[in-house]
Amino acid sequence: MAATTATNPPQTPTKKPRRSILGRKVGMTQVFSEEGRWLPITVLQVGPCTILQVKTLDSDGYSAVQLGLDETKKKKNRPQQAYLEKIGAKAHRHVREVPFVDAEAVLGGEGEAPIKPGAKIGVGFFKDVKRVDVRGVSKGKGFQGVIKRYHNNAGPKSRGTKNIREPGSTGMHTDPGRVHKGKHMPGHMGAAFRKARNLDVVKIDEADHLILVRGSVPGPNGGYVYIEESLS
Amino acid sequence: MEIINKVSAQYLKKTLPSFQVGDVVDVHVKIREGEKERVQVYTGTVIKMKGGKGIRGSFTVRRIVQSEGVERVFPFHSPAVENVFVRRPGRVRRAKLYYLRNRVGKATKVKERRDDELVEAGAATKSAGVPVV
Repeated sequence: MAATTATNPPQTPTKKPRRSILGRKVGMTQVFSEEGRWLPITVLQVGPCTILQVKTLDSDGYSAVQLGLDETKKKKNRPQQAYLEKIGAKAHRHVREVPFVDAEAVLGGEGEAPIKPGAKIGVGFFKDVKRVDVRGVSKGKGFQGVIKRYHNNAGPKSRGTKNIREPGSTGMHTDPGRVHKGKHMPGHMGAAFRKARNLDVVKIDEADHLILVRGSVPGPNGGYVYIEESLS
Repeated sequence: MEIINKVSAQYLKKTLPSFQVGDVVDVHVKIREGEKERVQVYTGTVIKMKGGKGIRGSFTVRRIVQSEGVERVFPFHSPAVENVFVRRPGRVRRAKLYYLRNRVGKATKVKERRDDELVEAGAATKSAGVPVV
């Protein structure tokens, strides 16, 4: 939200901005392919998101769109509430910034809402997308040992062994005299952002705001996910 | 869950053919050869039904091809399964006929026939052989 300073050169987009949107993981099921085979799919509820703010190169030094998902009755603090009232939007539970993509160019001006604060954007935005990346917070696993966390092999279970699930040696001797950085050790696992890449889009249901993607997606059912067009 | 059911409901068939474990059935399977689509008939004994009648439900048909046992699993609701006709209803006392795998020759073929009188005593509703699509 800070204004660009003179020393901050305007960023030129090096990559083609990808279409992105916010959604929720509904759950997994199966559907049939045209050949009659099962496809494991994840149902994602996508939007409709409210555009809360449009950031442009001129005003912010980069271009982006702030999207809100899940309207809530809760009020934001005064300044934010005043802003929301100005653009005629409600407070949202989940707010995130996504790269700016000219929706009108994508949709060919089919009467869809243009990119401006207060407007809604939904699955229609992803109409002809073949594959998507889905980012979400993975399920928390708590403090886990090295076998579950890093797929280390477990030690032998019998014949007097005592290193059944131990992490083993953590390094060498006086040289280097320390443990290497990044050494796999027990610790907290899960509850971190993970991205599932290149998931095939099986179906897009505009009426119910759903995208069906093939395969699994990080996070619990009902968890917030961030969906973007795949690079390939 | 409602949304999930709604999604999978779009892929379910309205009606399913009626047959039971133990029946010898003709499964009409759609096969795509290049551009053309044709129906292939796969005949065998139903040895297993699994996963209910929902989107995950399937049945397994066993037959002997060139003295080698072949089992194919068909999802009930798969669009590739066009229809199932009961050739010969079978009377069995088990839900899963895995014991057929250990049998050869006549022992596999001679499935106990279901006597029509016996069926009527139980449930006359089982009109085997009538395809319901």
